[in-house]
Amino acid sequence: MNEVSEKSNLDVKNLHVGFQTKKSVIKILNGIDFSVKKGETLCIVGESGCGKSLTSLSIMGLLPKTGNITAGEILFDGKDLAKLNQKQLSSIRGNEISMIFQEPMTSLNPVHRIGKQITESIRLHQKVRKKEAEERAIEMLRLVGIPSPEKRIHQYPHELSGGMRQRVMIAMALSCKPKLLIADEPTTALDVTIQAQILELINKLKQEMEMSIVMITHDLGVVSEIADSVLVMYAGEVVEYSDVKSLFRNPQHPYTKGLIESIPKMDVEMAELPVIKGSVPDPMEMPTGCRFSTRCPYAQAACFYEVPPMEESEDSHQVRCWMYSERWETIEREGILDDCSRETAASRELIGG
Amino acid sequence: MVSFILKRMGLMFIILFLVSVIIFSLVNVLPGDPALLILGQEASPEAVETLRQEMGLNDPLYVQYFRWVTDVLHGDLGNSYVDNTAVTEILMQKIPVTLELTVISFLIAFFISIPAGIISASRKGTLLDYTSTLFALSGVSIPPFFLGILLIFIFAIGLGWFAPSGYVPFAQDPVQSLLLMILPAVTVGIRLSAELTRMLRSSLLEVLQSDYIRTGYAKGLRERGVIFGHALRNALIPVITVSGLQVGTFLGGAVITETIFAVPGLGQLVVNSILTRDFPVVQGAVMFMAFAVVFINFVVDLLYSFLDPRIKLAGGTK
Amino acid sequence: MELIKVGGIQKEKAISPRKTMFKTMMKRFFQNKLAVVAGIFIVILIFMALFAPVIAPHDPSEQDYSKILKAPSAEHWFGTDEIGRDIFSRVIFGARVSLQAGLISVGIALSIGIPVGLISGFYRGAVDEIIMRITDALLSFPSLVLALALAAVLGAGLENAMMAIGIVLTPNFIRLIRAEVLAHREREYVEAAKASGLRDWRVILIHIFPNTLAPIMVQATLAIASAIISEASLSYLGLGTQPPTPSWGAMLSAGQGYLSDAPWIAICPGIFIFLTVISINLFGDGVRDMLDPKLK
Repeated sequence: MNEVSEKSNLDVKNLHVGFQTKKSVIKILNGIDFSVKKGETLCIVGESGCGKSLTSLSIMGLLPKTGNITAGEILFDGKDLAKLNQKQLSSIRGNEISMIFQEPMTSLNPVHRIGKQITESIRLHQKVRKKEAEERAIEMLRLVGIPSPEKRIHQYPHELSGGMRQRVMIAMALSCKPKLLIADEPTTALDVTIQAQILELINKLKQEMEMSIVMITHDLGVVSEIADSVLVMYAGEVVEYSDVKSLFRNPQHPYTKGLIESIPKMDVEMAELPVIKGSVPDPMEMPTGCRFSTRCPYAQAACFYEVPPMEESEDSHQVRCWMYSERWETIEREGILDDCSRETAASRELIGG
Repeated sequence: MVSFILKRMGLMFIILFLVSVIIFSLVNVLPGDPALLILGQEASPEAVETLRQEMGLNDPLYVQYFRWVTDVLHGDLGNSYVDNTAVTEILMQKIPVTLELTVISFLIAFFISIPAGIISASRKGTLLDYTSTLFALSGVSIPPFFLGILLIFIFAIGLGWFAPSGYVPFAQDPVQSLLLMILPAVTVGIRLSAELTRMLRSSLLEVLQSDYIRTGYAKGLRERGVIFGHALRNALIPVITVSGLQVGTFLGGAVITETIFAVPGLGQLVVNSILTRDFPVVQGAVMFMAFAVVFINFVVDLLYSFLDPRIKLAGGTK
Repeated sequence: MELIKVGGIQKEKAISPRKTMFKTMMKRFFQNKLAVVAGIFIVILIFMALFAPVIAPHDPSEQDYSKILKAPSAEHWFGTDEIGRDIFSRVIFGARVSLQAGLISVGIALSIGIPVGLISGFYRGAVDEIIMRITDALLSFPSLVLALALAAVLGAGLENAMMAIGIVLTPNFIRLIRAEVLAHREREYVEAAKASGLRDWRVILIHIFPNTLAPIMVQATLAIASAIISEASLSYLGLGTQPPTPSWGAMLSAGQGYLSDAPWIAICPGIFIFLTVISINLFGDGVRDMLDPKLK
């Protein structure tokens, strides 16, 4: 999974993103690694604030003005997107890489007709006449399952339901046949029944158009339905990276386990849904060691001051947790790693870390 | 859509009625006896009394009001006490002058405020933004008469580029007319553009945070395309509404400006007729101004629903 | 699946007493350096107005025909006017008129606007409808024209000018307060107060009015600036402060005739009006950011 194969479409390597404040740079993303093969769907999961959306915005080159890629590469078709300027990026955006967002209600411009908004995308990247672009727009709307598209192109966004608007967004995103679609929680704001339809649509179009998908979600139900592989993020880091079957069969990171346990199950009656206690640490006060240590039920002293490495625990399954390290035995026995860090551990406990 | 217009028009008539009541009562409590004004200070008390009777000034106020409104509705605004000219005729002379000032001022205002607002919002926090914000703040803080006097001092007296005051009708000599109009128009235009720049900046800043702006970038649009294609129109919607409300302020500025530069328009007419207690002229001119404000606000409301398709819901699609 | 987030900030807020709120507000205000500078200028101006007789080097109405239209010098900082009066002294005394006009006009507007706005927003219905249409009508007049007409009715003079400007400013306050009341009257605490059987005026005064104070303060500050401009405009047109009382507007009007020979007569008071108004506007912006950064 790690090797850069010819087939891989997107390769994110050691991505670091920081935000410039008046005083300092706040590090938000800390060494993100993953790759998406052609035609594959990768899901990025995690709580809000863990850096999922920022990862996707970095790929698009749409970080807020104060945000910067401070290190790492984003290889797409052999180009490093992290090194391109806005002009070069804008010729890729909406063309080779497209994105759809969480808020279908507000993501379309309220004062322009649907047709205009779709043809704008098409004519931006392809030299076609207005008439042709319009035909393409109608064709796209039909493809995403919008009835009587010839009429719809003359309507304004407020005349459409949320589900319909998200379909329009998808039509717009796919109008230039992108190689990669980034979907940032595309179904969160929609009704449950509509959610399923939209997911099904995305899946169907993926196969028809042979594109790769990076889907951001906090809903593991969505993951099990459409993902090929899964990236679990926590506090700006990857904590587990695996193919989807392996992840659900054998979740390893305590955080992933917590996420899976907190899915409501239809068949089991539970008095209370287990939740992961505590909250994502503030980026200004990141734990020195494992970032999940403050909430981890298995945490040992060492976890608080030694950053666990990302390790392959089984085939195509990586996890960032000391429990899967060869050194876990030592840690469990001693509580710490070696003599030299014993002092740091002691002092840390004194401070109350 | 039709019911919206009708409702809005009904409201407009109620407001105009109240406006007429206010004007009428204001003018009628103005100190000074019109009969005495017409006949002159030396007139005998009997002659004054006869004229008062003739003019209906001894009738109860509500009778006088209804007589006035009936006349107004018939297009008769009365005659000036000073030279007995019909007020409508005086207004017809003055309106084109103020209209010329209005048009040039608004052109100047748009010419400055739209680029300034866009630059300020899209380059927020830069030196350009600070400069334009400071300009806008100064523009709303400088009293129009001081600005006018400064302009006269610099451009008429100092540099000698323009005459310090005067007016030539546009039809008579367009070039001369425009030259004389420049300083007054800049005086009013700077204040207008300052207001508009501030509004456009804050409105644009808000719009630029919208999700559909992000969509624009995600499509592959560059900043210019996003601003002109998606942000500007949405940002202008509230600006236009508020600038409709600014018409009153604008006319107030015109009153002062016309006085400074001796431009014989509506504003100067109002000031002079108030100072000479020429009631019919005051009534007519102020009524016209208020009518203009109410009417422009009505038009702006219609324009608003035209610019923002979401408003049209009541009228169905398209 | 969204985990309950116990934001550290919310927790702090709940514990924080009024003191810290005041502190953060002060901190926010002092971050806005322009507003602080503006505030300092306003304090100096108030000081000038209060102690004008002590500060002014000359009697503002003392005429000296041996020193007519003298350019600014060590003796006469801002020069002298057409009858030899000291412009600097007149500008200092003029500050009295302007500040007085600003404060009293806005005071008048508030004392009418607050009760009327509260009643209009609280009772709604026919009362509200009538009040709103009247404000609509009043707002249809160009404000300066209305002030001019009112000043003409009441007669020239500073007191009447302040009254006229106050009346002209009132509809804006009525509308602002009414809108605030409407926004608050449906809130739970007002409902609860009404349900508990409190009398109307107690509900209005105790539960609604305090919540409208922040926007009123901001609007009132900015209204002072426009009232100062209006007073100066009326004086410029001859319907405001009457001679010999020195007022900035009247000084400008008198100085306009001497622009080519003695520009200082008009320009010195002009600069002071401008600085005063811009300072009040900046200060008002600072107050707004201090009270509610979201209002920006």
